[in-house]
Amino acid sequence: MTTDNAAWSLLDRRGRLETLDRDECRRLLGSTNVGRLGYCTDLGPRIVPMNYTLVGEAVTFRTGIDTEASHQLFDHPVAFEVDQFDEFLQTGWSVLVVGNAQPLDEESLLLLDIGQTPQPWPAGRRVLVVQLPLTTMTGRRVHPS
Amino acid sequence: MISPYTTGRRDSDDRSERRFEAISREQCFDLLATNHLGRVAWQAADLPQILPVTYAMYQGSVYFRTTPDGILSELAQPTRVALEVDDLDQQTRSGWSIVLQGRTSAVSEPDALAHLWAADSLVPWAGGNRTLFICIRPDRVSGRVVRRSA
Repeated sequence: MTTDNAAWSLLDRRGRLETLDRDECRRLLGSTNVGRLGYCTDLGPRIVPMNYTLVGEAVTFRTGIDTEASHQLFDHPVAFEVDQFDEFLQTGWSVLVVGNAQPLDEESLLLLDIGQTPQPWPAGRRVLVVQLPLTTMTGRRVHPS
Repeated sequence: MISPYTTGRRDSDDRSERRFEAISREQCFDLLATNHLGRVAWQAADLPQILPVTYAMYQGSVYFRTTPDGILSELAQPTRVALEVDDLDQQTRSGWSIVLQGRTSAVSEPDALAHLWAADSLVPWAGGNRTLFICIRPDRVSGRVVRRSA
């Protein structure tokens, strides 16, 4: 996907923007384990970094029972963004998942392998396991010029 | 920085305890000024959006460039947004993140535009006709660091 017009691109030595297909988005989501959760509050949008795992067709993460996120997550669609950039080469990709998050019930929790449970970096109790299905998934990559 | 084409990064096996610590407002602005890559989140129609942008700080506000017909051009209308900037290291399971909440506007003042066209860090990585400058005026800034407990 580019929005170049011909005259501008003659002058332009910058990278090319590509729209990624669903398979590639899913592969990239599985290549890392930290992303950013976006949700809306009455005071405007929020973003928080989150450790996650990709379990089946859902982004899975953990939060505390009484955190701000836990109160805002289930009433409206939320967004989850994962990216990786190289500032020197000015290249990188980003993937965005948007959908309705759901808490995992006890039965589904028991079905998770140990390796599939997200492991947040900071200490603290985060007993709420949340899944965000890959309902709407879009991605872009900037290629080097 | 790890190449964006590398996959399968692994966590460190070091599971010693890590904690959150707050970053002062002054430090937040220092980090915002020395970094140029962030993510803008906003509520677009019914769905939340998060997109990466390259930005620059100027006179205490955040500025970035976009195409007049792209999705980010919605932010030319005054909109509540959050900008997140971070440096997270999977190897050491540590890092920091800063979130700035504010309101957007399109930049039209000639002085600001003259300065912004010349700002190196505002040259977007992707090509295209990125002639629209958006300002985020901050209402609230907060940051935190995750690191191994001393």
